[in-house]
This record gives sequence, structure tokens and C-alpha cells, in this order.
Amino acid sequence: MRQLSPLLFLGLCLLPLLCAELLPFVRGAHRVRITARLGALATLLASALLVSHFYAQHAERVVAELPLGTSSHALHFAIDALNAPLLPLAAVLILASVLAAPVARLASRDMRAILWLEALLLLTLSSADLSVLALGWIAQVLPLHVLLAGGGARAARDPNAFVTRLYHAAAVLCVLSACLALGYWARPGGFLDLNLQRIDARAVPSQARTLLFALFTFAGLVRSGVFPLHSWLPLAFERGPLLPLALLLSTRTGLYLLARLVIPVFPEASHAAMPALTLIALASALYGAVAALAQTDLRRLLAFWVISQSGIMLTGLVFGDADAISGTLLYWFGFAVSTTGLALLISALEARTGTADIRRFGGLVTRVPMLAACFFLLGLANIAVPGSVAFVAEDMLVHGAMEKHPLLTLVMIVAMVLNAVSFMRAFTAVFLGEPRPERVPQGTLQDLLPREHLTAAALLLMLVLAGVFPNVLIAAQRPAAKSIAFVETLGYAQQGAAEPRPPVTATPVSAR
Amino acid sequence: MHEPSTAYLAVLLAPLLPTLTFVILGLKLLLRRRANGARVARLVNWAFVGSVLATLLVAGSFAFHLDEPLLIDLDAWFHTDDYRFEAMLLVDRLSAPMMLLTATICGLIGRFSSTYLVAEPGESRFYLLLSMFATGMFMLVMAGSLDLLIAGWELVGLSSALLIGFFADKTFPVRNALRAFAIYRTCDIGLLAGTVLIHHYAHTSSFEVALGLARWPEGAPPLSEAAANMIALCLFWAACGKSALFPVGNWLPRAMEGPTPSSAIFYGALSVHAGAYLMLRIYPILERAHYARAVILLIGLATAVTGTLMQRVQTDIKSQLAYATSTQVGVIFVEIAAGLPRLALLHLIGHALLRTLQLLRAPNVIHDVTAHALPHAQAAHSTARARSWVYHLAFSRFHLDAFWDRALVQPLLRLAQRLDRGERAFTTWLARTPGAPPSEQSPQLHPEHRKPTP
Repeated sequence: MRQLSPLLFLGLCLLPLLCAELLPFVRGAHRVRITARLGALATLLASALLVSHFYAQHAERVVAELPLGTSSHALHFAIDALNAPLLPLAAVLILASVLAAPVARLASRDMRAILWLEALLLLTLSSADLSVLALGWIAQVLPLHVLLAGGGARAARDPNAFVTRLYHAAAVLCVLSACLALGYWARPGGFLDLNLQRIDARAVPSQARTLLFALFTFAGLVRSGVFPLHSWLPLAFERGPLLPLALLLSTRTGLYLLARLVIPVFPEASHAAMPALTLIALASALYGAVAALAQTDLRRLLAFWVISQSGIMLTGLVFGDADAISGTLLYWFGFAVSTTGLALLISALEARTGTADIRRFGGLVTRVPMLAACFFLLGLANIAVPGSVAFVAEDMLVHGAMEKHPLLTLVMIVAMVLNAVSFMRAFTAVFLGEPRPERVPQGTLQDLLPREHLTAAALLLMLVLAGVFPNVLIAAQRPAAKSIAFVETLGYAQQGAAEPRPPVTATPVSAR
Repeated sequence: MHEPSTAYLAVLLAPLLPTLTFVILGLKLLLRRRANGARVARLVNWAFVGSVLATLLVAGSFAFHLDEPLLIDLDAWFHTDDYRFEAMLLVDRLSAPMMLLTATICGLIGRFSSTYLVAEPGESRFYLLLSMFATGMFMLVMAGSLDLLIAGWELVGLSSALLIGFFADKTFPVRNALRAFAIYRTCDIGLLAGTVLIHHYAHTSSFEVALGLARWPEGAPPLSEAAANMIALCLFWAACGKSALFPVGNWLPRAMEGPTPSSAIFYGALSVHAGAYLMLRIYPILERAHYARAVILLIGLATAVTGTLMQRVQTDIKSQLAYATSTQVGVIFVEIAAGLPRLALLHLIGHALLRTLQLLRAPNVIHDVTAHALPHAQAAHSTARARSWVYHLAFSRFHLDAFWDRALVQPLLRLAQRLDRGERAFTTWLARTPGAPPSEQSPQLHPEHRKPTP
């Protein structure tokens, strides 16, 4: 069996970082773009290499350990069924963004922020240490806030940016305090030595355990934009840098925190909190879907779809049925690709017209037919038309959820229907109907450029291929779904005192 | 169930040809290749010719020597340990004539449109959507499981909505397309729920097992009466949307905004009968679902009566035909509920063919009226009974649109606006809490926003 080196993990995280720090030394906007694209492409290849190594091992989990000098501490990386598809997915989405973003968004500063985001995302996804995972998770929002602050002195003082910072600061504080407390109780080695696999939350007093669970969950829900902790999201989408935001939300690091950390480490509390989490998830699904009907701004509309779909995915995750969780993980994939694609197209439309206000559009299909077609097809893939991965995901999700809670699942289905209607409503308002020359900018509108067009087509192809041949993804993610369903359903009490975690076939690979 | 090789190949070929044209045309249009309308029409029409020949072979096999249903298992589309999405095709005495009907009418419409839509902007798009519809319709009528039927059902619904809004630069077709799409989607909740219920009670959605299918319409589904009633009612709700039954059927005349050939194929012939086909397909379940049958009977009657009344007060030929269709579809549902599935199938086929002819002739009706002074056409404008309450009721389309607007659409939109206002008020309040910087009117956070940089 071929051995994995921790350098592969390290290289994966460092590649975009090095590229980002190289950008200030590159002269000329064109060269900056080329460098950023090459960096994103190299990262994608590195992630594909890593994931192919993992699947070649035929193990449920492969870990790698990088010793830190002569101390007893080490960095741990792991790849398993949960993060294996997410690593290349994040790299693909970043590459799509640097390829297809409007030229104005391809300046050195924006590219650096996006590449930093990529490095932190990959670090969070591949880390097996609580400390590194938490730090990566916390730091993910920093590029976003750097861009927010970079909008000029006026923007830096903006009260609306304050709302986004407030929510993110609250989430960061929760994660930090919960990690420190967990380090204090759960590991004698302290915060620096918190391999996720070895954390035993039973060492934490039961009341504090509930509190830690609540803190982590709160942070995860804030980052996911789940109702009622979502209010930063529409505001940030409407006024902030759309692409980094869409990338942050598409990769679902909030739900990842729940799936990777909260549910496995606190199975008992997760089980007890399932009814409350189910209600929150369904409320989010429905709230986002209904509020989307009133939106007149494409950016804000996208934000409410994200809120609704976050609720749908959380519903699948907390229902605890393996089929529903499999559907959720598949939905995660489709959601990430289509949301990033839609964000790219909204950016493209905005770059051409100077607005994302739906009321100012109408009949654009005759002027930008390819943009309209790509927007429509990506939207269809988002609302689960047969042939798209979302159709398969929704089928599995609804089937699994309906077996557990038929009536509650109806609420989820209603939210899906409303999302579809609000998408059609927005599409018809922007692209169809009588053209309104007095409202949209006069003169010729540039249709999609070849790079934008090919990127959108590639994203569509991903969604269709995953929809027509979904078994590859389902099989790849199935162990993760089973693992989440197992710990969530049983909890500690039923698992017996000896082994708090579901058994996994670990293949440790030491760097020593 | 045996699988004779010729019929087997014909069964696969019939849907494959329009599916291939759909994929080829879709890729071509997506990759920005300019498509020659006449060539596209030829390609699609030849595909339909192939489909017609294949379905003729299938129907002939069933008429002369095939007695048992032909089941083709294409393996699961996707599966987990506990769940399989059954992708199997079923051809029997119900689906074989429906396949022939689908191929024939699609072929006729394709041929008619190659003249009718010549040089029309969007001709290629029309043929793309026609191929997509044919793919969906074949999938729907040949599905051997409810799972696969859903996929076909959704494709039919989507192509229907897109063809209603075919004239994308006009306000009303687009608005009506959106309304039809919303109604379809709302009613599809029933299809999803019914499918999950079938999985729950029969542990599969395969018609062979879930319906205990022998020779259609006979069958012995492994379901209790309560389960049968629940499943039938859920699926009937889906059928209400697709077949424009009372009280959700007023989208049908609005759907006539599309090009005449698409009106004929969707709302005269095939799509509007998809709901009736679904009921015929699950007929063995209906036989056990007495309450559901009573509901179907009542709704079918209400659709027929309101349809015929509304038809009599319409002043344009396509609306008249839409309501006449609604009337006949209502009668077909009554026949199904009354335990006459074979009669309903015959009625469905005959009605589809007649209505296709009438709708394709509709653009010539003005010529017919002036040349031959058709008494029926003049009678349509009669206001002799204008004072009767029936007339008013029919003229106002039984206030159904207003009812749904007031009962569902407007409250939902009001709620959405309230939520949005609440959201904005909350974030404004949050931004003004102590410690926050002073508020400014409409500040912009990022230079990318609202700055045209093509």
C-alpha cells in the first residue's frame, strides 16, 4: 500500500497561500490574473492527487502526522468520506471564481483574498486537530473582512459591516471558548494536542458538555446562515463582496463544523437537541423560501436561497436517517456548484449593468442570451430538475426524511417548491418579458465572454454528470453518512461505556 | 415476463431518438453554435419518424402476440443500502397505445411546425423544447416505477411552462408561464408524497410489485385500504395540477399564450392527459381506494360542469377549446372513478386526436367564420343569457383565479414582504446599537457594488 505523506496535505494548504503572497510582486493586471489562475489550478491538481491517493488506499480514513520539532506535539491531517469530495470541490469552485469573475474583481487584492480563503478552507477541511480546525475555521472570515474594510474609509465605518462583524465575532468567540474549555477538560495535553479522534467529551462535566455543544452549534448555525442567526447574510450578500461570500457559504463550513465536530464529539447532546435543531432547520428552510419571494435584488435573493437551502441541508443532517444524510451530502455538492455559478453570473450581470436590482431589468434575454441561458440552467439545477444532481439529492433527502417524520418533511417540500417558484419569478422578471430600454443601460450589452461561458458550462456539466451518474458520489460519501447517522441516533448511552465513537478503519501514516 | 428481442429494441429506440435529439440540440445551443431552423426541424422530425415506427412495432406486438407486460430493468439509477431508485420500463396494454399516441402526435406537431414556425425567432428553441417534452412524455408513459415517472413528469411540466412563455418578449405569456409553473410545482408535492408513501407501504415504487400488476387494469397491490386511499389522494392532487382539474385548472386557457402547435400537443393532446394516465396506471390501487374514487368522481364532475359552462362564454377559439378540453378531461376522470378504465383510455386517445386537429385548425377559424358563417362560432359571442347568474359565474371563471389569489398568493406575498421589512428593521436596529458606528444612508461596503465595469 502506498504511503501518504503529510507533506501532501501541507502542500495543498500552502500552495494557494504562496501564490497569494506572490501576487503583490507580480506586475500588471494580466499577469496577476494568470498567476492566480495557475495557483488555483495547481491547488486543484494537488487536491485531486491527494484524493486519488486516499481512494487508492481503500480505507475509510487515512491520517498523516507531522511532528512539530522535538516536542511531543504534532499536526494531524485526515481524509475520509466526508472531506474527500469536499477538498477538490472547494478547489474547483475557487478556480471557477478566478477564471470567470469580472475583470474588476480580478485585481491583486481580491485574488489574494480568494486564495487565502482557499488555503484556510483546505486547512479546515483536511485538519484532524481541533485546534487547527478551529483556527482555520475562525480565520476563514478574515479575507472577507479585509475586503469589507477595503471598500474605503466610508465602507469601513459602515454600520451594516458592523452587523456582519458582530455575528462573526460572536461565532468566533463561541468556538474559541468552547475549544479552550474542551482542551481543559477533555485532554491532559491541552489545547495544542487535540486530535479529533482522541477527544473524549465524557471527561467534560455533563452540564458543561451541553454548554460546549450549544456554543459550537451556535457558531456553526451562524456561519451557515441558519434562521434565526442569519441576519448578517442578506446584508453581506447585498452590500459585500459577492464571490468570496458565495464561496464561503457554498463550501458550508458551518455545516462541516456540525458534521465533523459537533455530532461525533457530542452524540448525546446532538441526540437530545435533535427536535430543537429540526425545528430551527425547518423554520430556516421555510423562512428563506418565503422571504425570497419579496426580494427585488438578485444578491439578496441569492442570500435567502442560501438561508433556505441551509435549512434544508440541516434538516437532512439532523433527521439522522442514513439516506437523508446521503441526500444531504449530495445536496451539499449540488448547492455549492450551482450557488457559486449563480453568484458568478450575478457578478457578470452587475458588471455589465451596474445594478442587481430586479426591478430595473426585463427582457434581457434578447441582449444577453447566453447569460440568460446559463443563469436559467444553473437555476434549474438548483431547483432539482431531473438530470441534475439536486434531483437525486432531493429524492434521497425526501425519501429518508419522510420515513422518519412525514409531516415535518412536508414543510421541507413546501420550502423546495417555494424556492423553485421564486427562482422562476426572478428569472422571468430579469430576462423575459418586454424589454425596458428606459431602465437597463442603453447601448450594447456584452454577452458572456468565452472564459465566463466555458466556466458556467463546466459547472453545469459537473451538475449534470453528477446527476446522471450519481452512484459514484453516493458511494464515496456513504461511509460518512452512516457514521453521522450512527452517532446521532445512538449517542453514548447506547454505545456502551468502552467506545464512544463508531469504529473506523484507520490507516495511520507517520512522517517519521 | 419475457423480453422478445425485436419488441425490446423497439421499446428502447422509441424514447432514445427524441432524447438524443434533445441532447444534441441542447449542447449545440449551449455552446453558442448557431442552429439552422430548417435543419433542426428535419433532424427532430426524422427522430419522430423513427419513434413512430418503433412504437408501431411495439403496439403491433401487443395487439397480435404479446399478452404479458414487457418489463425492462435498466438497473437502479442510484441506490443506497436501503433505497433504490428503480429505473425500469414497463410496456403493457396501457403504455403501448400511449407510446404510439405520443410518438404520432409529436411527429405530427413537428411536421406541422416546420411550416407554421418557419423563420420564427426561436424556432430551434421550439424544437429543443419539443424534443425535451417527447423525452419526458415517453419517460412518463413507459415508466415502470413511480420514481422514474416523476422524472418524466417534471420534464413535461418544465417544457410545458417554457413553451407557454415561448414568446419571451411579451408580458402575458411570461406571466402565464410562471403561473402554470407555480401550480405544477405546488401540485407535484402530491406526487412526491405519494411516491414516498408507496415506498413506505410496498417497500418499492416498482409498478410490478406495488400494483401487483398482472394484465392492466388488473392487479393486486399489497396495500391496505387506508394506505391505498392515502396514496391515491396524493397522486390525484398531482394529477389535478397537470390535467387542469377543478379548482386549480384555470391555468389552462392562460397556457394558450404559447405557439399553436405547442398548445395542441400540451393542452389538447398529451400533457393535459398525463394526470388521467397516472390514474389509469395506478388503477389497481384505485380499486381499493373507495374514498379516493369518490373524491375523483366529484372533482371530475365539477371540472366537466364548470368547463362546459365556461367554454360557452368564451369569445376566442383557443379559450373555447381549452375549456372544452377541460370538460372532456373531467369526464375521463369520472369514467376512471366509475370503474371504466378501458373506456377512459379509449376516450383519452380519441379526445387527444380530435383536440389536436381542432387546435391546429384554430388559426383558420376566422377564415372559416367569414367564409362559411359557422353558427357555433357566432353563438359563442351571444350574450342572450347575460343576466343569468350562470352566465356571470361562467364568465368570471367561477372566481377561481380570484379565490386562489386571495386565499394563497396574496397572503403569501404579504407575509414575504412583512418578513423582509422585519428583517431590514432588525438589522437597522442592530446596526444602531451602542458601540456601532453612526448610521449612514445607503452606504456601500465594497467598490464592486453598483459600479458598471463591463
